[in-house]
Amino acid sequence: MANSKKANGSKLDGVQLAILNKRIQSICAKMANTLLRTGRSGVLNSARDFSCVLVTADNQLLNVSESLPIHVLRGADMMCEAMQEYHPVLKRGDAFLHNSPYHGGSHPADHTFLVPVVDDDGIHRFTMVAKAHQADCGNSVPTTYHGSARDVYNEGALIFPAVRIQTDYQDNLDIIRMCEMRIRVPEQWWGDYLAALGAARIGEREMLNLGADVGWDMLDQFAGQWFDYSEQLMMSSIRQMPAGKITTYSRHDPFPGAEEGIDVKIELEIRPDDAMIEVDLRDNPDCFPCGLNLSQACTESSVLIGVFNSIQEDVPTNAGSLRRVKMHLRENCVVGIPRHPTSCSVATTNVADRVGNSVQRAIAELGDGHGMASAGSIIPPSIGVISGTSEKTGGPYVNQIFLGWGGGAAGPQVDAWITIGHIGNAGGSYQDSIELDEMRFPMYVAGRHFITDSGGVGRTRGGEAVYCEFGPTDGDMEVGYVSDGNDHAPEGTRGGGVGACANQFRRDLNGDLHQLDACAQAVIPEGHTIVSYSCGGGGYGNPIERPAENVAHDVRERWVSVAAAKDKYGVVVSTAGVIDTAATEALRAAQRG
Amino acid sequence: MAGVAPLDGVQLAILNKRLEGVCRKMANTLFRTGRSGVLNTARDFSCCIVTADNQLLAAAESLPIHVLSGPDLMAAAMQEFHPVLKRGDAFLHNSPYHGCSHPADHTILVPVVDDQGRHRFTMVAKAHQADCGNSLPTTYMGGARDVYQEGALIFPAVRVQENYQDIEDIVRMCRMRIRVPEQWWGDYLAEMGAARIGERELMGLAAEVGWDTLDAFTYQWFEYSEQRMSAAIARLPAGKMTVSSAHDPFPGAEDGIEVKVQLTIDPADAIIEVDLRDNPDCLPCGLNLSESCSRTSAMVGVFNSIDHTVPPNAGSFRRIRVLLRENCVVGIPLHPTSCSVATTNVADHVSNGVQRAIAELAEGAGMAEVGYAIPPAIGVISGLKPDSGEPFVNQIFLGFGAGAAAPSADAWVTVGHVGNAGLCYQDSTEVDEQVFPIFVKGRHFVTDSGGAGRYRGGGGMQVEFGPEGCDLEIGYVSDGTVNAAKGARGGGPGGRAQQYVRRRNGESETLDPCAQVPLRDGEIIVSVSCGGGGFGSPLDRPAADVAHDARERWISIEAAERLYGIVLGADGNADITASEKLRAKMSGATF
Repeated sequence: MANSKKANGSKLDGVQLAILNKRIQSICAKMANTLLRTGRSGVLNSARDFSCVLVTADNQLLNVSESLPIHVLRGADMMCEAMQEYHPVLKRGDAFLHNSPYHGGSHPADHTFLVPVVDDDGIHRFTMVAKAHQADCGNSVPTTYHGSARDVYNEGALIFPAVRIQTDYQDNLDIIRMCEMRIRVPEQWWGDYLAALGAARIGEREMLNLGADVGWDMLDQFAGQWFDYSEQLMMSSIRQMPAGKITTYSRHDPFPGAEEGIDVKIELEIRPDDAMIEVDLRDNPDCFPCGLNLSQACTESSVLIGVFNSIQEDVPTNAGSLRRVKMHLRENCVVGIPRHPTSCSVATTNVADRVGNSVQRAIAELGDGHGMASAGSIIPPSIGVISGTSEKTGGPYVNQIFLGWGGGAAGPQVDAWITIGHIGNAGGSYQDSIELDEMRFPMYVAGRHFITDSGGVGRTRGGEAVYCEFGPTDGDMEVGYVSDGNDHAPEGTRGGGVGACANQFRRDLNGDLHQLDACAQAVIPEGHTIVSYSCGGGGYGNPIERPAENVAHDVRERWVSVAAAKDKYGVVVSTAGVIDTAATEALRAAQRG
Repeated sequence: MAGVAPLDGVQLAILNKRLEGVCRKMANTLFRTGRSGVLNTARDFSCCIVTADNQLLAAAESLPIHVLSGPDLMAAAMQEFHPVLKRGDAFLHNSPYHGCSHPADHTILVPVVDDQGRHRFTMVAKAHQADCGNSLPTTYMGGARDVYQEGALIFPAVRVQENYQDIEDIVRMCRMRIRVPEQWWGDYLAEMGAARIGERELMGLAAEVGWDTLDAFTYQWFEYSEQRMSAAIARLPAGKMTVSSAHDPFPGAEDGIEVKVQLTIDPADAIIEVDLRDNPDCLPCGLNLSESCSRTSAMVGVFNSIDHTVPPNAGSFRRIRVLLRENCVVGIPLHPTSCSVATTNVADHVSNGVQRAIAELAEGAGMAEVGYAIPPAIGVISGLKPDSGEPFVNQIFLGFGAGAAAPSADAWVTVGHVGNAGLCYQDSTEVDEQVFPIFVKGRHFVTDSGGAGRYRGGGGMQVEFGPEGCDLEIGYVSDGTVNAAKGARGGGPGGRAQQYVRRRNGESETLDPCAQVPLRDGEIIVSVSCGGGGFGSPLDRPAADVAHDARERWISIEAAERLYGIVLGADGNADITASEKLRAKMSGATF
């Protein structure tokens, strides 16, 4: 076991540990509440696409309770490290803006505010981190997911490698003006800036109070012990997992710049004796001239997501538990460590999802009762970035909407969490209300519903895909999206079936459908609509092992059709959900044979 | 003014030369230390001095389009955003919404602060970058629908040094978003060095003569320059003239851009007024002018048309009134309108329009139109070097448009374009081939491409080149493919631009005039630049000059006869009898 950091004070007991942990969690909750209630763009105040984190002075992740996993499992620590490298002297009142994927950022759309908490003696104690996905980050086209960007220049975003944005609690107006010049709808950005910075400052204030209350030494003591405790829980969880070594594969769809698709290969080993999980990603392709490459933060986070989705949920996620996962990455690898100027515009979702899904699927393949299937791939048009100009919005608008994600993955014991979003955000983002979106933007949502039979079949069922159709009501609208899973469906595991593939069309004034590319900046004229099919999630285990009563329930709820109940699950059931027990037993027996 | 006795003429002349000397030292620094070819070979930069109240004082050896108006506006933005200026400060500025020409012109502003902490002057070093972080590897994004698509980092007078130390955050941001960051860094140091040299020299001068004397000089020099300008304008005839000059159709400006210049010469009040307000709104492309370029391009046309000894500074500028309107393609752009190509294409139509309007109004003044830019031979090339795999990006200068004919002289052939007034150098073929993986197959003037006239327009250039050992990309925005540079007072138009690619199988393909073209190893791009317009009727050109033109192959024997009415004999001399007869028959014909 790795040694803990400095432990000057006396050892805390379990009650003290629990109390301090909760107090720190509540500080992050206050930060998150601030961000949710003051964010100006819908991506923050409706969809909650942000994270609030606490990092120690030696750049170890301490608390992530209010976060999207892909934002923070790794990255917050690396960003704090870059801050310290570039700014060796940290003063109270400093704040830093960071979004550089070459210095620990996830992708450039995730503007991150780092506030060092400095005690009365001028010692840097902790760093408060507020990371918020922006409605716009200055890309060359109005989307925060520039899938076809051949490099960071073509991508266009401003890159902030831990840039000091406040000194003495005062904004560096030069940087603000630069942002106002290059980020669309600058007033919206400014509101989101204030919200994220405000969240980090709230966290700083609360942390200073906590330090004053219990003393900084006790907080250091807590951090050290909490890491050790978390590591112990992680170890005992890994000790219950099946030993073995396995390789799994997945493939991201062909996209511009990656015309053959992107093969992702995961070599995973669980060593319960050592209480270690080791994941090797080095045997994967070099970086591509497109926006799909992972940042180092996203590579590591996506692996960790797959791991944490597969272990006991009571293991705290922090630098302590992370010690038990060893990763092997390679420079200039699409799932590794990108070299500048490789674009990582879409690093948090598409290929990262393939990694996270393959890790949890690998664990499932090693032993029944472990791991998970693959969650649905994204980003379909219903989660795209819309933009245009309208009287309703008083000029230009740009924002990501969240009208329908991919379906979740089936777990070993339970059906999928349908509205999980994608594997990387683990349900942390909210889905938009149709009415709110229609109120805010010149758009009309013609329909939204789950799609029958789109979840992967299995002993436990994969989550269903979402059909969503919408279009502009005032002028043309651009919709930017990067929809993986058009060709390569989310995989099931241990005999579970695949989730449905994604698709997308434009419906013209006559009602005729026109196929759209999977990675596009689509222009939808007023009166037309865009039709978005998201991916279903993969199933877990053999579908004929699914209790017939559950299948009947699926049919009643229209998750599963009568035909699929019969063909896939071997359950003969009426539309009303009444099981023909004899026919079902006969059919299942035949299917087993 | 300032409690010192008025300076006499000798003192004025000396101080003026010393200030120009300061600018020259800055320019020399930049030229000799710049890392990219666009600076150390083509000299695409300017150095000037602005007063504390933001008036242009000295701009020796500068490109007119860079400085006539712009440094004043930029220095004003610096003061607005940074009310307290300290010695050791330096600012990076390239925002076309705050006084800069276009985002590729990174400008370093250094306030000169005296020992009492008072801001006295601002030294300005402006240098066109090999790359400025656009979304494509070109500093001229003709097709950019807005500043976001353009992609450049925009610095609205951002403090980049404090206490003579770099603010590393800004440097790191540039390194993340500007191609070939080491090259940018070298150019940054060169520019900063130039501005700091200027600061040191000006402080030295003040230590010698005193700040008050410099203030007195400034005041008197502006007065003197204004008087010279007044006198020059007073010699012109009164009149009003509206001319139009059309930029070719480009993406985002599919119908072309008709630039209308309404010019008034008022010798009584000694004012020249250029009204640009009756022009189209800004367009969703990179061709819109910044305020700096709108004002400057009008002034370039005026200065090209008058007594060239009038000093261009804030004093003489008082006699030029430029009327602009917001959200106008030749006016004051509203953010986020793209001004990526503001220094050349449409700006050239304003300058050319102004000087042609003056030519039409005043015998012996004005000029024809200079050839339009930016053909592929002046494009931005980029790729990976075959030996090292290292990326390269740089603008090359292998063949500009040609100069315009004047009332008393043939064109300056290698003037570049109207906005840079011959200040940029053209590249050496051998040096370019040494520095970049390219092969220059040929470069020559094009016979008959200069506008015919009593004074002849400059001939366009044909340049053929391509990558060697690798693929490359070339970005250009070639105006004048459709609308040629016009002549004045009966002079003929210059030749049109053309661009095509010769594939490895020998087949040629015409290229779009505004494009980012990938070239494969072994392919050749052929770039033909515009000729300049002629001045006066070609029938008035002396027969011996026409014969000389034909001997030098500026014009063909056929054109000598058809356009100039000169019949050439077998010995190359004019057949006087035949020519006189032909000219008599032709006179009355218009061009």
